[in-house]
Amino acid sequence: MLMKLVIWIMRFVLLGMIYVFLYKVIKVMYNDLKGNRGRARPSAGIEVVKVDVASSIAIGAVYPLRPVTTIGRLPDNNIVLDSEYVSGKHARIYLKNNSYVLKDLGSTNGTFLNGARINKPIVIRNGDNINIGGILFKVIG
Amino acid sequence: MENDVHMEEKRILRLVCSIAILAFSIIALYSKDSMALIMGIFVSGLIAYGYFIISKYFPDGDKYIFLLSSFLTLIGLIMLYRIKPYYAVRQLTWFTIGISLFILIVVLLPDMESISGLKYLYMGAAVGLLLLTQFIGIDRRGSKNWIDLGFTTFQPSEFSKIFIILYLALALKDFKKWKDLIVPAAVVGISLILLVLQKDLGTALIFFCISLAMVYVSTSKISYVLSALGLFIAGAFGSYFTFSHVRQRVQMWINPWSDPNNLGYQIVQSMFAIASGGFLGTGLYLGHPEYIPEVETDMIFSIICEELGLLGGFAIIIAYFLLIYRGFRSAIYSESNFSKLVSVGLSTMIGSQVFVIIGGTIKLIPLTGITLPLISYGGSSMVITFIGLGILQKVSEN
Repeated sequence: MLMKLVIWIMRFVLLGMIYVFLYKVIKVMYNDLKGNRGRARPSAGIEVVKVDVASSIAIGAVYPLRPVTTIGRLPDNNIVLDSEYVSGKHARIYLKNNSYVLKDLGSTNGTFLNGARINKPIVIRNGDNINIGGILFKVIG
Repeated sequence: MENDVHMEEKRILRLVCSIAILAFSIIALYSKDSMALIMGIFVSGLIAYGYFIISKYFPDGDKYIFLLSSFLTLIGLIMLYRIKPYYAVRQLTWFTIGISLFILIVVLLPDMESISGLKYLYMGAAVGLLLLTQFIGIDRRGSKNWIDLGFTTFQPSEFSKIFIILYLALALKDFKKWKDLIVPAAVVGISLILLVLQKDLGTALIFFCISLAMVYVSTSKISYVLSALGLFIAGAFGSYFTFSHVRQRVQMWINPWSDPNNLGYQIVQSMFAIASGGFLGTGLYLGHPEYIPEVETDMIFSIICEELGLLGGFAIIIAYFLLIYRGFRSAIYSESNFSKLVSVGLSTMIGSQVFVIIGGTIKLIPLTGITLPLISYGGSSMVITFIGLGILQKVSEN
């Protein structure tokens, strides 16, 4: 008799749990739709260490990296480099699986990581050197 | 905040595992079979392991695709164990293979671009598999859509679905003018004719839905959709008058009571089962799956409705809805046209399959024998669905 009661209760607990599961998943997706993705990111940036070309960029300036950071000469980039050797949309640094990835966007003069021209997206680490149109950056953080 | 997101995922994972243990304990208590409990523990271990691998190596990917699909598979395993433990053990093997393929695709596929160069191979595979069944297929349950490999049988039309999605995505990604649609339309048309000849009407309907959704997403012109629908209606009428098996299915849909003990038996028994379940269900292990034909594959939704009630049935549909929403979400966020179209195709594949078979069991549309993805017993369907989900997961990471 007691056994039957236990199973009878378990039956409703099961249905209840299925709905709690659905409710939780829906809640997560609702937050996601509101754009409240709330992902704190490891803070990192790139610091200008050397400028080989005529430009108004100051040595020592630090640009923080966002989940997606675009670099180029045009004013709609996140980091604007006013140098004639920099392409309009030159490169992009984005987060993937908790590491930053550098990608060249088909620039004329190329993007160099530690002296080598990159031709595919590549993971960058603390201390790496990035050369974009004669402007040398160092990855920090 | 990041920790919060992970904590919430872990809580949801724990919930899925508890559902597994609880449901299998109910079965164990009723059937006095302690194997059920071991099964429950094993299933939750497997799901937890899969989640662990994905979140460790790919923290940016969408974990809800995996969580929702393993929840649905879990419901399937519970019902199959309850119908016949042998089915559940076999299905568990397929689930393990499915999860492994899912993880392998996510780990080994570098990006979507690396599979975008083989357009004609996909086209050949999609049509070739269907042609192969036309010649060497064997008849089973009224459809000639199985191939016997000696040690096992499989359904080529399931694999053909993935290839047609990849092919259509490649053919439609650079759409400019209507002439670009002629070759894809011909390929889809030939596949549909082959499927109708093999009496595989459900799969034909799914192929049609997939192509329609992909064409609409790539061209965003409603006129193509409307003309395709017109063609479809013409084709449906044509096959109604040409093929006796189509006519039979439609007549049994309009009035299953005209022949309730023979041709209408499946639909009638399915409706009896759903009705006897009521709102809260008879309770797990207290229904009568032995009265429903094909209860482990096509008609599994009826027994879910009987034992878990209307509420259980709703829960399954909501879970599918959320899974498909996740698929479309990764399509929205994807960068290239190719991966966008592939995600749309795969999400539509799962969605239309759910609609066609659930609609069939509740007599909303004519019943056609296809599997309920992830829940029904069947290796081909399980493997293919997990391959599709693996590709969706991959798209969601970029």
